[in-house]
Amino acid sequence: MRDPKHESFLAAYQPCHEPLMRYCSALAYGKMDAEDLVQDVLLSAYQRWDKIEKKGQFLHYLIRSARNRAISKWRRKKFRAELLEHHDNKMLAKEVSPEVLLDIQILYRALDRLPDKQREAVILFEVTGFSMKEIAEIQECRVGAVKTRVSRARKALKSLLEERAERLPSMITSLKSIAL
Amino acid sequence: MKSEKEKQDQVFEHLRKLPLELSLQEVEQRIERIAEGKLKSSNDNSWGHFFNLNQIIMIVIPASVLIGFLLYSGLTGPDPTAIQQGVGRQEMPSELPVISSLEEEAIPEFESKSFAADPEEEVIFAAGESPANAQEHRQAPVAEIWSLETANEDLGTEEQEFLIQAVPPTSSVEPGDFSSGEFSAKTATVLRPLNTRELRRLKKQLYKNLTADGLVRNRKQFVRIDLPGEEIRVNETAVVEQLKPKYAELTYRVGWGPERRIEMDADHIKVGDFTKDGFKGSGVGRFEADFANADSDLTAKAEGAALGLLGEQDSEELEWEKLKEEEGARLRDYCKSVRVNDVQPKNPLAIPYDIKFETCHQLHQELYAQLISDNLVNQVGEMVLLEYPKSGLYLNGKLMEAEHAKAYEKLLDKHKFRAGTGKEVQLSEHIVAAGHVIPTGFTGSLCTFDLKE
Repeated sequence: MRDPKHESFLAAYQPCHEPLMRYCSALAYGKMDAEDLVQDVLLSAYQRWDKIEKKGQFLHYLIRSARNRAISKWRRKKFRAELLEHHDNKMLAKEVSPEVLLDIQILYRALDRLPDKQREAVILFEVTGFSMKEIAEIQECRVGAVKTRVSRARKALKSLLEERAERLPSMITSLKSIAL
Repeated sequence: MKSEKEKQDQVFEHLRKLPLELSLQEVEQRIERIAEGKLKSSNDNSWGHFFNLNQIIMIVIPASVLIGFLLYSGLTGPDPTAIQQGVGRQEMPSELPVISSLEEEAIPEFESKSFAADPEEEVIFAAGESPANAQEHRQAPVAEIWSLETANEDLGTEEQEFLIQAVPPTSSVEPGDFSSGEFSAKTATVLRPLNTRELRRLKKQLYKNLTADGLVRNRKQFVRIDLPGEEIRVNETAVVEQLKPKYAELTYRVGWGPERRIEMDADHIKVGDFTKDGFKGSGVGRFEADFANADSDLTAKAEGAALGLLGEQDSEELEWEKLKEEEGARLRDYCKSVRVNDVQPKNPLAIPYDIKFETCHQLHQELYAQLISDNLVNQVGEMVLLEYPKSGLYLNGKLMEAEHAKAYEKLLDKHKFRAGTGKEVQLSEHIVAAGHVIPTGFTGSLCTFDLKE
């Protein structure tokens, strides 16, 4: 017979699983193991389950918890090659193509150069699939502000990717000259 | 060709479709393990997990306050009365002898047994000897070592901070009960050297207790405490029997003797023997004192020089000190007759002649050079008095010839020293005084030069 706390926690967690995992993967990409981050968040949430008042907004709670942990510990760190490799190996094992993984890596590197709020807004909107209203609740701001953040983030990402695309042919040319 | 926006949307689409790193079943298993307490946070092993800022502040601030208090109390030192109460003379067997560390050097076979927390309070017993034998040992001759360090000497008043390193022993009667009456006024304890810290502490303790007992009005009043032995007198008044043990404890380090005394006021404290020859003991602060054997060092050196015992450097020092003495005496005599700027002249014409030291020096050199060139003096250092009233220039009381006087007038004018009633310049080897004599004294500039020049 399961503990009622355990039952209620599992019931509340199930709908949150996918968005939380995607958000944690995006946050932890190249900086820490996403599994560790998820585990820390769940442990903390389970221990405080009785004290959480708005259990209907459990996903918001988990997202905020993950964000705070990531900010306090890993926001200043650079990408670590071994973690990137670890992530790629995991994805390759799940039959994700190397081209897709390369695209993802380029996107995450561009995302890492955005301001925190904009990066969070665009990840929540584009990757996790939250609505503008939900993001506003998580970020504790107005919907208009979220829209602005997402819009600016997309523009910034566009320019960053274009810049990279412009640099790429010259890099390839120089590499070719070295090879020849 | 795809636009960047389309590519971006495509990558986001990839991200949205990317398989999850952990499936729901895996997470549920982890939650199971969390519920069972088998799973811990990934950073449980880090030290930071055990502390947060609040805990750090709550620990560090009280600890800092506590350490600060301990350090402060440690610096101020233990209460001497507390030490003496702990290992006081009442607790010591009265028949056991006590000797000072100085005497210990003379009796090396003595075994030292410390009974006090403070090393200065060390009590030494003779190994395998009766107290009577120990008394005999104690009366063995001890080398006389005197070292009197004088910090600063000024005219008339001497500001002294010195320490007697060791003192010649008098008859050695050791501390005991004052009330027993076993000590006569003729006996005395060894005058122990007290350092600056001990003296300041003694002064503080004494003033605190004396004011509390109503024996002095305040902490600025001059206090003289006589410690002849059979009683304690504060400002010539014997302390009552009830208070005697307390003051005996307080003055324990000073000891007693027929001429043993403590003198103190707000500026100083002197502790020692006030003999006919002068003061022997320790003192700190600003005070005047006639030191017994104060010039013994100089006298000893003079005797040594006569016997050819001193080195070349010592001889030079001796000569130098003599010169300083002579010059000091001359300066004192001069200053007795001359008061500089002690009267504010009411006459606006009589504004004091005020020049800088460099100008004084220049005036001194130029006047002597001119006087020597005119063959009016033979050498630098001869006493010269130039009086400069409006009627003419007088050199040592004699009116100078007009042709000579012009050069001096020009020279004095260059230094803005104008003729007037009572105006004069006095010159000697190391002194120049330029100003004017007024009925109450002298106003002007007086400079003395270093003897080495």
